[in-house]
Amino acid sequence: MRYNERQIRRWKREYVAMDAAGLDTSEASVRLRAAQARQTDFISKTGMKRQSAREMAAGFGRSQAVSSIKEAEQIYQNWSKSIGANDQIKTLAKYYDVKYNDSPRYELLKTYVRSVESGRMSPMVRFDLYEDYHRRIQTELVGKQTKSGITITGQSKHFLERVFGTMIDPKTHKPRSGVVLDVIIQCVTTSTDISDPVIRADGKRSIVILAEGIAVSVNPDTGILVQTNPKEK
Amino acid sequence: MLNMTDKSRRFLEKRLPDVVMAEKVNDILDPLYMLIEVEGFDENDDYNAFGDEAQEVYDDVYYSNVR
Repeated sequence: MRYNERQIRRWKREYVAMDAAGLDTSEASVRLRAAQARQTDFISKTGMKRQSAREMAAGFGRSQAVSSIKEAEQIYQNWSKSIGANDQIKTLAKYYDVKYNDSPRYELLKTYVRSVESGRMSPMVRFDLYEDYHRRIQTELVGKQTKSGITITGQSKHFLERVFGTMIDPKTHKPRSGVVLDVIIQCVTTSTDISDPVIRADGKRSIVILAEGIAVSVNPDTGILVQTNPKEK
Repeated sequence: MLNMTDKSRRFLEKRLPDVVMAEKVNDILDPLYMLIEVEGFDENDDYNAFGDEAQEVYDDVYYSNVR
Protein backbone atom coordinates (compact mmCIF):
# COMPACT_ATOMS: atom_id res chain seq x y z
CA MET A 1 0.00 0.00 0.00
CA ARG A 2 2.80 2.44 0.88
CA TYR A 3 4.67 1.42 -2.26
CA ASN A 4 1.62 2.17 -4.38
CA GLU A 5 1.20 5.53 -2.68
CA ARG A 6 4.82 6.40 -3.41
CA GLN A 7 4.38 5.36 -7.06
CA ILE A 8 1.22 7.44 -7.40
CA ARG A 9 2.98 10.50 -5.99
CA ARG A 10 6.01 9.85 -8.16
CA TRP A 11 4.05 9.71 -11.42
CA LYS A 12 1.95 12.72 -10.45
CA ARG A 13 5.15 14.73 -9.91
CA GLU A 14 6.50 13.39 -13.21
CA TYR A 15 3.31 14.42 -14.97
CA VAL A 16 3.48 17.96 -13.54
CA ALA A 17 7.15 18.35 -14.45
CA MET A 18 6.75 17.06 -18.01
CA ASP A 19 3.65 19.17 -18.54
CA ALA A 20 5.40 22.32 -17.27
CA ALA A 21 8.31 21.66 -19.61
CA GLY A 22 5.95 21.17 -22.54
CA LEU A 23 7.10 17.55 -22.94
CA ASP A 24 5.17 14.34 -23.58
CA THR A 25 3.15 13.33 -20.50
CA SER A 26 1.81 10.07 -21.89
CA GLU A 27 4.15 7.73 -20.00
CA ALA A 28 3.42 9.49 -16.71
CA SER A 29 -0.32 9.28 -17.38
CA VAL A 30 -0.24 5.57 -18.16
CA ARG A 31 2.02 4.69 -15.24
CA LEU A 32 -0.06 6.81 -12.88
CA ARG A 33 -3.23 4.97 -13.91
CA ALA A 34 -1.46 1.63 -13.47
CA ALA A 35 -0.31 2.57 -9.96
CA GLN A 36 -3.79 3.81 -9.05
CA ALA A 37 -5.32 0.58 -10.36
CA ARG A 38 -2.87 -1.48 -8.29
CA GLN A 39 -3.79 0.55 -5.23
CA THR A 40 -7.54 0.14 -5.84
CA ASP A 41 -7.10 -3.60 -6.26
CA PHE A 42 -4.95 -3.88 -3.13
CA ILE A 43 -7.47 -1.93 -1.04
CA SER A 44 -10.46 -3.90 -2.34
CA LYS A 45 -8.75 -7.19 -1.52
CA THR A 46 -7.43 -6.22 1.91
CA GLY A 47 -10.28 -4.01 3.12
CA MET A 48 -7.80 -1.35 4.20
CA LYS A 49 -8.85 2.28 4.16
CA ARG A 50 -7.55 4.45 1.35
CA GLN A 51 -5.62 7.49 2.56
CA SER A 52 -6.05 9.90 -0.33
CA ALA A 53 -3.90 12.56 1.33
CA ARG A 54 -0.93 10.24 1.03
CA GLU A 55 -1.42 10.09 -2.76
CA MET A 56 -1.32 13.85 -3.31
CA ALA A 57 1.47 15.69 -5.11
CA ALA A 58 2.05 19.43 -5.37
CA GLY A 59 0.77 20.90 -8.61
CA PHE A 60 -1.34 17.88 -9.50
CA GLY A 61 -4.93 19.03 -9.07
CA ARG A 62 -8.30 18.23 -10.54
CA SER A 63 -7.58 19.52 -14.05
CA GLN A 64 -4.31 17.54 -14.25
CA ALA A 65 -6.16 14.46 -13.03
CA VAL A 66 -8.82 14.83 -15.72
CA SER A 67 -6.24 15.43 -18.47
CA SER A 68 -4.12 12.53 -17.29
CA ILE A 69 -7.05 10.12 -17.21
CA LYS A 70 -8.17 11.20 -20.70
CA GLU A 71 -4.66 10.77 -22.04
CA ALA A 72 -4.20 7.30 -20.53
CA GLU A 73 -7.63 6.27 -21.80
CA GLN A 74 -6.80 7.47 -25.32
CA ILE A 75 -3.53 5.54 -25.31
CA TYR A 76 -5.36 2.42 -24.16
CA GLN A 77 -8.05 2.89 -26.82
CA ASN A 78 -5.43 3.14 -29.58
CA TRP A 79 -3.58 0.07 -28.31
CA SER A 80 -6.66 -2.07 -27.71
CA LYS A 81 -8.04 -1.14 -31.12
CA SER A 82 -4.75 -2.10 -32.76
CA ILE A 83 -4.90 -5.61 -31.27
CA GLY A 84 -8.65 -6.06 -31.67
CA ALA A 85 -9.42 -6.07 -27.96
CA ASN A 86 -11.46 -2.86 -27.97
CA ASP A 87 -14.82 -4.61 -28.34
CA GLN A 88 -14.19 -7.04 -25.48
CA ILE A 89 -12.27 -4.86 -23.05
CA LYS A 90 -13.69 -1.45 -23.78
CA THR A 91 -12.00 0.86 -21.30
CA LEU A 92 -8.77 1.17 -19.42
CA ALA A 93 -10.68 0.64 -16.19
CA LYS A 94 -12.09 -2.60 -17.59
CA TYR A 95 -8.59 -3.62 -18.69
CA TYR A 96 -7.35 -3.21 -15.13
CA ASP A 97 -10.38 -5.07 -13.87
CA VAL A 98 -9.45 -7.98 -16.16
CA LYS A 99 -5.82 -7.73 -15.05
CA TYR A 100 -6.60 -7.96 -11.35
CA ASN A 101 -9.84 -9.94 -11.27
CA ASP A 102 -9.85 -12.21 -14.32
CA SER A 103 -6.44 -13.86 -14.32
CA PRO A 104 -7.10 -16.44 -17.07
CA ARG A 105 -8.29 -13.75 -19.46
CA TYR A 106 -5.40 -11.47 -18.61
CA GLU A 107 -2.96 -14.34 -19.14
CA LEU A 108 -4.55 -14.98 -22.52
CA LEU A 109 -4.17 -11.30 -23.44
CA LYS A 110 -0.51 -11.35 -22.41
CA THR A 111 0.07 -14.56 -24.35
CA TYR A 112 -1.59 -13.05 -27.40
CA VAL A 113 0.60 -9.93 -27.24
CA ARG A 114 3.74 -12.06 -26.84
CA SER A 115 2.79 -14.22 -29.83
CA VAL A 116 2.30 -11.18 -32.05
CA GLU A 117 5.41 -9.40 -30.81
CA SER A 118 7.55 -12.50 -31.37
CA GLY A 119 6.39 -12.58 -34.99
CA ARG A 120 4.98 -16.11 -34.61
CA MET A 121 1.46 -14.85 -35.12
CA SER A 122 0.29 -12.27 -37.61
CA PRO A 123 -1.05 -8.97 -36.25
CA MET A 124 -3.88 -9.61 -38.72
CA VAL A 125 -5.21 -11.95 -36.04
CA ARG A 126 -7.12 -9.73 -33.66
CA PHE A 127 -7.52 -10.49 -29.98
CA ASP A 128 -11.27 -10.97 -30.27
CA LEU A 129 -10.76 -13.77 -32.81
CA TYR A 130 -7.88 -15.22 -30.80
CA GLU A 131 -10.00 -15.31 -27.66
CA ASP A 132 -12.92 -16.82 -29.56
CA TYR A 133 -10.76 -19.62 -30.99
CA HIS A 134 -9.19 -20.30 -27.61
CA ARG A 135 -12.68 -20.60 -26.13
CA ARG A 136 -13.85 -22.86 -28.96
CA ILE A 137 -10.92 -25.21 -28.50
CA GLN A 138 -11.61 -25.34 -24.78
CA THR A 139 -15.31 -26.05 -25.24
CA GLU A 140 -15.32 -28.11 -28.45
CA LEU A 141 -12.10 -30.12 -28.15
CA VAL A 142 -11.02 -30.30 -24.53
CA GLY A 143 -12.62 -33.34 -22.94
CA LYS A 144 -13.01 -35.12 -26.29
CA GLN A 145 -11.12 -38.30 -27.10
CA THR A 146 -8.98 -39.24 -30.05
CA LYS A 147 -9.74 -42.54 -31.75
CA SER A 148 -6.71 -43.99 -29.94
CA GLY A 149 -8.30 -43.11 -26.59
CA ILE A 150 -6.32 -40.01 -25.59
CA THR A 151 -8.43 -37.41 -23.82
CA ILE A 152 -7.65 -33.85 -24.87
CA THR A 153 -6.93 -31.80 -21.75
CA GLY A 154 -5.78 -28.47 -23.12
CA GLN A 155 -3.83 -26.52 -25.71
CA SER A 156 -0.33 -25.11 -25.76
CA LYS A 157 0.27 -21.46 -26.63
CA HIS A 158 2.11 -22.69 -29.69
CA PHE A 159 -0.90 -24.71 -30.83
CA LEU A 160 -3.07 -21.61 -31.06
CA GLU A 161 -0.29 -19.79 -32.90
CA ARG A 162 -0.24 -22.63 -35.41
CA VAL A 163 -4.03 -22.65 -35.78
CA PHE A 164 -3.76 -19.07 -36.96
CA GLY A 165 -0.60 -19.95 -38.87
CA THR A 166 -2.72 -22.25 -41.01
CA MET A 167 -5.28 -19.49 -41.57
CA ILE A 168 -3.08 -16.63 -42.74
CA ASP A 169 -0.67 -16.95 -45.63
CA PRO A 170 2.74 -15.86 -44.26
CA LYS A 171 3.76 -14.61 -47.71
CA THR A 172 0.78 -12.43 -48.51
CA HIS A 173 -0.45 -11.96 -44.92
CA LYS A 174 -3.95 -12.53 -46.25
CA PRO A 175 -6.42 -14.96 -44.67
CA ARG A 176 -6.91 -18.26 -46.45
CA SER A 177 -10.36 -19.55 -47.09
CA GLY A 178 -11.87 -22.39 -45.12
CA VAL A 179 -12.86 -22.98 -41.54
CA VAL A 180 -9.63 -24.44 -40.25
CA LEU A 181 -10.74 -25.01 -36.68
CA ASP A 182 -13.60 -27.25 -37.73
CA VAL A 183 -11.16 -29.34 -39.76
CA ILE A 184 -8.86 -29.64 -36.73
CA ILE A 185 -11.70 -30.70 -34.48
CA GLN A 186 -12.84 -33.31 -36.98
CA CYS A 187 -9.28 -34.56 -37.43
CA VAL A 188 -8.65 -34.99 -33.70
CA THR A 189 -11.96 -36.65 -32.91
CA THR A 190 -12.59 -38.86 -35.96
CA SER A 191 -9.32 -39.73 -37.69
CA THR A 192 -7.89 -43.21 -37.26
CA ASP A 193 -4.67 -42.32 -39.08
CA ILE A 194 -2.56 -41.91 -35.95
CA SER A 195 1.20 -42.36 -35.70
CA ASP A 196 3.05 -44.28 -33.04
CA PRO A 197 4.49 -41.96 -30.39
CA VAL A 198 7.69 -40.17 -31.40
CA ILE A 199 10.22 -38.99 -28.82
CA ARG A 200 11.09 -35.33 -29.10
CA ALA A 201 14.55 -33.94 -28.47
CA ASP A 202 13.37 -32.66 -25.08
CA GLY A 203 12.21 -36.16 -24.09
CA LYS A 204 8.47 -35.52 -24.41
CA ARG A 205 6.34 -37.86 -26.48
CA SER A 206 4.08 -36.86 -29.32
CA ILE A 207 1.59 -38.54 -31.63
CA VAL A 208 0.58 -37.17 -35.02
CA ILE A 209 -3.03 -37.43 -36.20
CA LEU A 210 -3.53 -37.10 -39.93
CA ALA A 211 -6.64 -36.24 -41.89
CA GLU A 212 -7.31 -34.84 -45.33
CA GLY A 213 -5.43 -31.56 -45.56
CA ILE A 214 -4.24 -31.39 -41.97
CA ALA A 215 -1.88 -32.84 -39.35
CA VAL A 216 -2.33 -32.36 -35.61
CA SER A 217 0.06 -33.37 -32.81
CA VAL A 218 -0.93 -34.29 -29.28
CA ASN A 219 1.17 -35.18 -26.27
CA PRO A 220 -0.21 -38.66 -25.41
CA ASP A 221 0.93 -38.38 -21.79
CA THR A 222 -0.68 -35.02 -21.00
CA GLY A 223 -3.41 -34.74 -23.64
CA ILE A 224 -2.16 -31.27 -24.60
CA LEU A 225 -2.62 -30.17 -28.21
CA VAL A 226 0.83 -29.11 -29.38
CA GLN A 227 1.07 -28.55 -33.09
CA THR A 228 -0.88 -28.37 -36.34
CA ASN A 229 -0.03 -27.70 -39.96
CA PRO A 230 -1.93 -27.79 -43.24
CA LYS A 231 -1.21 -30.46 -45.86
CA GLU A 232 -2.22 -30.89 -49.46
CA LYS A 233 -5.65 -32.53 -49.71
CA MET B 1 9.80 -30.24 -59.50
CA LEU B 2 8.00 -28.39 -56.74
CA ASN B 3 8.29 -24.64 -56.27
CA MET B 4 10.32 -23.33 -53.35
CA THR B 5 12.95 -20.74 -52.58
CA ASP B 6 16.66 -21.49 -52.86
CA LYS B 7 16.88 -21.14 -49.09
CA SER B 8 14.25 -23.85 -48.61
CA ARG B 9 15.94 -26.10 -51.12
CA ARG B 10 19.26 -25.75 -49.32
CA PHE B 11 17.57 -26.60 -46.02
CA LEU B 12 15.98 -29.73 -47.48
CA GLU B 13 19.21 -30.82 -49.21
CA LYS B 14 20.92 -30.65 -45.85
CA ARG B 15 18.22 -32.13 -43.60
CA LEU B 16 15.96 -34.23 -45.84
CA PRO B 17 17.99 -34.94 -49.01
CA ASP B 18 15.78 -37.85 -50.04
CA VAL B 19 12.73 -35.64 -50.61
CA VAL B 20 14.21 -32.61 -52.39
CA MET B 21 13.19 -33.91 -55.81
CA ALA B 22 9.74 -35.09 -54.70
CA GLU B 23 6.87 -34.36 -57.07
CA LYS B 24 4.05 -34.43 -54.53
CA VAL B 25 3.84 -31.72 -51.91
CA ASN B 26 2.98 -34.08 -49.08
CA ASP B 27 6.07 -36.16 -49.85
CA ILE B 28 8.01 -33.17 -48.52
CA LEU B 29 5.54 -31.89 -45.94
CA ASP B 30 5.05 -35.20 -44.10
CA PRO B 31 8.73 -35.86 -43.27
CA LEU B 32 9.27 -32.16 -42.63
CA TYR B 33 6.41 -32.19 -40.13
CA MET B 34 7.98 -35.15 -38.34
CA LEU B 35 11.38 -33.44 -38.36
CA ILE B 36 9.84 -30.40 -36.69
CA GLU B 37 8.07 -32.68 -34.25
CA VAL B 38 11.28 -34.37 -33.16
CA GLU B 39 13.78 -31.50 -33.24
CA GLY B 40 11.79 -28.29 -33.37
CA PHE B 41 10.45 -27.80 -29.84
CA ASP B 42 11.73 -26.53 -26.54
CA GLU B 43 10.54 -27.72 -23.13
CA ASN B 44 7.70 -25.18 -23.12
CA ASP B 45 6.21 -26.61 -26.33
CA ASP B 46 7.36 -23.50 -28.21
CA TYR B 47 9.45 -23.68 -31.34
CA ASN B 48 13.19 -23.47 -30.83
CA ALA B 49 15.38 -21.78 -33.47
CA PHE B 50 15.39 -24.92 -35.59
CA GLY B 51 11.60 -25.19 -35.35
CA ASP B 52 11.20 -21.62 -36.57
CA GLU B 53 13.57 -22.27 -39.48
CA ALA B 54 11.89 -25.54 -40.44
CA GLN B 55 8.39 -24.03 -40.19
CA GLU B 56 9.48 -21.29 -42.57
CA VAL B 57 10.47 -23.96 -45.08
CA TYR B 58 7.19 -25.82 -44.48
CA ASP B 59 5.20 -22.63 -45.14
CA ASP B 60 7.22 -21.88 -48.25
CA VAL B 61 6.72 -25.36 -49.74
CA TYR B 62 3.03 -25.40 -48.84
CA TYR B 63 2.08 -21.93 -50.00
CA SER B 64 4.22 -22.11 -53.14
CA ASN B 65 2.49 -25.26 -54.33
CA VAL B 66 -0.96 -25.57 -52.75
CA ARG B 67 -3.79 -23.15 -53.50
